[in-house]
Amino acid sequence: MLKYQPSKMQAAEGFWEKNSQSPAPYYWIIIPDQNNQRNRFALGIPYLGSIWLTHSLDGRVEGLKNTPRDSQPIMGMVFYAFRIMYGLAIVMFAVGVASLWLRLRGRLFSSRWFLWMLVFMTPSGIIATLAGWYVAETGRQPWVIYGILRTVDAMSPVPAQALLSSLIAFVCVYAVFIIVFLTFTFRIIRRGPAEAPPHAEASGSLKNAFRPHVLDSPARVVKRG
Amino acid sequence: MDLPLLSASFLTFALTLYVILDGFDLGVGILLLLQPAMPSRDHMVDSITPTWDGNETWIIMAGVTVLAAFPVAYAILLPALYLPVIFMLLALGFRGVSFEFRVQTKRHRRKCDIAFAAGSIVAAFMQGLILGGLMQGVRVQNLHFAGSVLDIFRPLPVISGITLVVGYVVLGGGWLKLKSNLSVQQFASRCLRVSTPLFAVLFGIVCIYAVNIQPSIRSEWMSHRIALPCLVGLFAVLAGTLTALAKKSRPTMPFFLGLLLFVVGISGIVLIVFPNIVPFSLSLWDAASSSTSQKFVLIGAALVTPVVLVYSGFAYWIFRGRTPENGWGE
Repeated sequence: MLKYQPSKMQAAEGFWEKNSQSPAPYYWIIIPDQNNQRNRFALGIPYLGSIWLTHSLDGRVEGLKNTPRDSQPIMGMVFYAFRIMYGLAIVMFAVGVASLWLRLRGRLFSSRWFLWMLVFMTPSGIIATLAGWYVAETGRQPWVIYGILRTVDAMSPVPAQALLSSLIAFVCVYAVFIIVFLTFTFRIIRRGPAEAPPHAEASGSLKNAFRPHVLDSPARVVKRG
Repeated sequence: MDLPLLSASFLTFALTLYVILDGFDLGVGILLLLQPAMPSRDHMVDSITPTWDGNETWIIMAGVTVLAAFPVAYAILLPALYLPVIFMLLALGFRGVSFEFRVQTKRHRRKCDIAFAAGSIVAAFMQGLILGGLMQGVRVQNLHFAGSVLDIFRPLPVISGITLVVGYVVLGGGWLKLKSNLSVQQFASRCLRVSTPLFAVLFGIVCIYAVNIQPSIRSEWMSHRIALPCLVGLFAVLAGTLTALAKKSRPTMPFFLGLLLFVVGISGIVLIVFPNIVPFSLSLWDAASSSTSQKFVLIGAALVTPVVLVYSGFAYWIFRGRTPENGWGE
């Protein structure tokens, strides 16, 4: 991305100046001011930007001013979409490591706090994916093919009313789909894994994980805990 | 070698496979609306469960071929056909969702079946609209679409939409004759006896109407003085045979007669449209991408098509014969 779409990367990291201060922080919260080409507010972890992005302790990070103003994406959208994607990735990784640890200690199925956390983590994958798409699509603006074709020049002759009506149709239809999906999903969950196969006792051994037919039954263990 | 011609042949091949394969499962979906008994509806759905979504592979192949091999045509046709394409996609979405959820519920299964049938009807109708829209001709200026998105709702496309709905019912009825138990077979026979002649009549109306409103089609009739009337004759004979044999014949007959009906119909359309790709204003060669892109498409098609054909064939082979009363099992 740094090589082929530098403006996307510049917007995603939240720096404006052609070369950032050294050492560069890694920003987590900024309030960008696109008109004046600066951040009104920026909060980050010192040194981390240099280490992460330049693999040195004092490297400078390229800012969005390297891109001419009429070819800049809107920094706020790219920056926050990227933070959501990246932040969720870190959380998901941490949850994965924690689950492995709990599994090795034989407590994975009985730690209610962890199971509840997993419930709330359910949509994380789709949210991270969507955020990633926002990075890709908003970060490439105002180009539809980077450096070759501008989005305004790629407009189709389909009139706006037709596009609007199809958009409304999409929103309505997918709203119905999501309601149906959630209704059925909750019903299936409430019914529970009634026909869980005969199981071995929950143990600390990972061996069972590779033999699904003797996998510990989650339903049973949770009830007991 | 004439690469655009080769790409267009592949496009025709993919579209034909799509129409006859997805055609029968759309047809079965439409027929759910006419079948009041829930066990029979379950059985009908079971008959298409293993293969229905694989059938939709071919429309993606066709779409990608147009995009990569005939980008100019894609840029003209997509705006021209925007509304029917979008509504077809939404309808296919309805089909997918209701299909997956109908097994999860007994109480709402009827609603799911209505949604599945409605999705099938709308998808089939939109495909017919697209076909009719192509037949009436697409207005092009400077290689851009110059008509209105609402051109597609003129009488010819609308009649053609209805025709295709009925045509898919013929295919679906044939499929049910081939794959289902006795009571559903009888139901399918009754449907075939009505839908086949109706399809033939509607198809005739579409032909006559198209000749009347589109001078290019009239001149095509003049230049294919033998081939086109022969195809029409063949179509009529096949439709007549299918109607007559719907009840008595062996269960394989109606489906294969239905397939032949569609092959004959598509051949006629290809004869009329060729050598255009945007009827009746842009030829294959004027819309073709560079020979590098053409080669890329064709090599991709040559690699992927056999694989898809083999796994689809394998699926049809595994699930050959009558559909078991309790479905194909887990």
